[in-house]
Amino acid sequence: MKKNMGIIKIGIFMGVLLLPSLLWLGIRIFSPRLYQELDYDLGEKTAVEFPREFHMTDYTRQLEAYYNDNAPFRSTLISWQQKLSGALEGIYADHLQGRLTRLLYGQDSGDFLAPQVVGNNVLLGRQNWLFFAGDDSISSYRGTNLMEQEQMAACLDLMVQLQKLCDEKGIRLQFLILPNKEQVYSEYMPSYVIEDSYKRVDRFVDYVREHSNVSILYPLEELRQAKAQWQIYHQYDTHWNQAGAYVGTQALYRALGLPTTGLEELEVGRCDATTSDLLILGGLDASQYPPEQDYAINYRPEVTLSEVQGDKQPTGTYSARSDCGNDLRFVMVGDSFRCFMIDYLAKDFSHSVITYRETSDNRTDYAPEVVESIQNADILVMEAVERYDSKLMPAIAQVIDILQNAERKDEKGEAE
Amino acid sequence: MLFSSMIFLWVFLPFVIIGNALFTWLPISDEQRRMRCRNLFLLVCSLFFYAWGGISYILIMLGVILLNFLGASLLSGKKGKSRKTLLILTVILNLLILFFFKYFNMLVAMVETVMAFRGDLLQRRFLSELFSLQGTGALQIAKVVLPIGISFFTFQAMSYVVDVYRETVPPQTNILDFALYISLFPQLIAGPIVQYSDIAEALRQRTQTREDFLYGIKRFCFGMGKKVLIANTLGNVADQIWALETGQLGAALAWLGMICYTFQIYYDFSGYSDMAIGLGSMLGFHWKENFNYPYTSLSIQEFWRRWHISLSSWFKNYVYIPLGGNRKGQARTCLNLLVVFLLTGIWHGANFTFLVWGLMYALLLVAERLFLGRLLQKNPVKPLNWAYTMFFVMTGWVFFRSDSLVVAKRYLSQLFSFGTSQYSILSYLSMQVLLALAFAFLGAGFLQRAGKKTARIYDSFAVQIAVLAASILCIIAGTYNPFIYFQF
Repeated sequence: MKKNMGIIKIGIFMGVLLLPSLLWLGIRIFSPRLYQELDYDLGEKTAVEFPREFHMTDYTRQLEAYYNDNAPFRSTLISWQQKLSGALEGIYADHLQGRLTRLLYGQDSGDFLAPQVVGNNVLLGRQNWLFFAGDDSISSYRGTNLMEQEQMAACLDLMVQLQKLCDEKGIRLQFLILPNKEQVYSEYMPSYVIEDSYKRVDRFVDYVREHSNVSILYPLEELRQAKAQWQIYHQYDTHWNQAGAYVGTQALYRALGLPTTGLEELEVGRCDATTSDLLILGGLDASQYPPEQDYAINYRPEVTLSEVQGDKQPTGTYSARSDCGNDLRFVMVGDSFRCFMIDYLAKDFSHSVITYRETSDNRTDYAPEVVESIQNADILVMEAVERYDSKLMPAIAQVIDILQNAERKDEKGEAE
Repeated sequence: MLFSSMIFLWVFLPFVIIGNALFTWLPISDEQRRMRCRNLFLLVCSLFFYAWGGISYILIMLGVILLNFLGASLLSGKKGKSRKTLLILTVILNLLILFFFKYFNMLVAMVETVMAFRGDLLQRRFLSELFSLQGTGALQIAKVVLPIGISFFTFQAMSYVVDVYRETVPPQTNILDFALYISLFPQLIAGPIVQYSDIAEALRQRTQTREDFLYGIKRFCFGMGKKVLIANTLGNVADQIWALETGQLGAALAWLGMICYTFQIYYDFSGYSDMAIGLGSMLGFHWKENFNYPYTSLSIQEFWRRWHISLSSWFKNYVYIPLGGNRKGQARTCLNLLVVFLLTGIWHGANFTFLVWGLMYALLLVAERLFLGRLLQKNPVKPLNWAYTMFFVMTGWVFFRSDSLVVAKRYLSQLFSFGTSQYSILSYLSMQVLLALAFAFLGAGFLQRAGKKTARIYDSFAVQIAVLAASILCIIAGTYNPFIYFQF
């Protein structure tokens, strides 16, 4: 009996090591439909490709990444782990967090919300609001990532350099830093995150305004005012929604001296929200969260777009012509927040190019037509969301290169 | 390849276990031939395991194997001075290899700093720059990449050559068996440092019983749980806290970071050793324990008898005793302790922080030898002895974990700061962290000593498999790479 038990135990152990691979292989061969059901998309980045070229230094690492990406029952096991982890943290939130809060802060846990970070840096806020806790977001909120004086001076140098080049070419330049969600909806943040009143971007914007004539916009106040009437950021996503993007666009127009229209003057309907990146990132069960809605804004239906190219994807380039009749060539270089502004920008300028910021750190160059648009723009907007404000500088450097190259070409042409 | 990776658990390990079993059961009447087949199979697997971490590193390990095999073979046939010369030559060559890969970057950084401050070495900033080991890049020398496990396998190799010189073991005549001793995958990357005398017989002849295999499963599963469920969870907290501005931590967070790291390093290292011992047992090798509940120690001396036992034994056998040990009077004993612990510190890494860590232990051990040991022995309140030991052990870990002495100093000062901090301890707590802390504390030796009930839990096969399954879930979840489109 003891002997048999020993063999059974060894069999179970070997089963844990071997069965997943064997079963997976069997399902793949004999039941492709079940295989597809089990190998569902977790909403990840593009799949890791099998390394075809052999490198002494990197090959095994690539091979392991490929295996990890295709490990048997991976999607199912990750979901199980997230459910288990969610259940554990639920117990913590319901039974322990309040006691710990009272113990440490002497406050009633009903009023004091302690932090709970799940999955990949997703911070659970009040009333089901989710926030992103990575990429310096929380430091920006707490005011713990202030820039040194020299750092601000170096950034301003670049901005002034671009301003000069734009002035020479007759381009109206606008820098635009968009607030992180938690700056606008701080009331849904856990109490422990102590908000600072004069933070990194506030200080930088003031510094730029004090030391130069460069035009920089950080529309925090506009957005905070608008939230009284509209929900302007997604509840389960890091981005603003259509209403937020509209308010931001109007703030931009005001800074550029262009005419504006209030959101209340437009026909605004409701539709289902299409993004919820924080649910995916946190590995949270979407069915546990009430569905979220966005606004469907009927903006300038009389304007017709033509020659629409590209799409509204975060890393893409969108361009269009419109019959709005102002004969302005508008270029915006920015991050994913710009995608939500496209519907308005495209209709307000005769020619608009709205592109993802390429920076020297990702070693990609702009497409020739984007380069040409930047060189011939009437209005150039350099945009970055607060948590990626540091990426604005390499983007500026790259646009400086583009304009300087154009200058050199002009000089060469004249000399010839 | 890491033990706590999917490719190890679901591909490499079952392949090795099945392959080893097949070679064990092969119908070969000649037992010697069977052993040769088994050893060769394990050697090939071990070299593959090592090459997985960097294909080019395999050449360095093969070089070390060849050097020590030849060194020992040559000196074993010699007598007198030439025998000693060969020993010294082999040891120096080993140390040169170790020095080059482990300490060359440090040397370059120091030379660059001295060059930068040339003529003004009395500047206050000079020392902080020197200790930070950042260098200036002026020499434009490319950084040397440290091959995984080099500290472990060079020490194993040296112990073999010295043992052959001392004639405590006969020289190995089969280079493949010797290569297996050096490269055997369970202990290759993080020890334990196996002395040749402990494995020589198993290389020649080893039996494998079902009980050994079941014992191996137990050690492997709990080792994996220690590493993945406790060390990784607490390590994540420690990393987050250490990444904050050290001067702003505040006492509560500084203590939490130090406690988490104290458990992380123990559960990480002892978990790895458990897995190595378990895998060895599954393959027919029996290795000595590397940890014996060090956090229950009541003195620093006891701590070092229980912590990283294979390294302490190595230094004792090959440095402390040859220097005279405790046979040449009190002063010489203290000096020997100082040398041994400075070397122990340096062995752990190329940074002044490790040197100070070693020096701290040397001074404490000298103090215990001279007077403190007697006081501790007479003290009737034993928890005080424990508190004293753990305080210094944890302080030592601050040096061990810090990137530089400046950071360590700042961190230690935060432990006793009473000002307010902008960070809240609540930011770093969760159910998983609290559970890991609870299990870490209880599992550090206190639970094991509690009685038979806990021994029953430890022996329960269901618990072992549950721990392994939970670890696999965590490892596979670690490969989750969500589409973070907002980063664009």
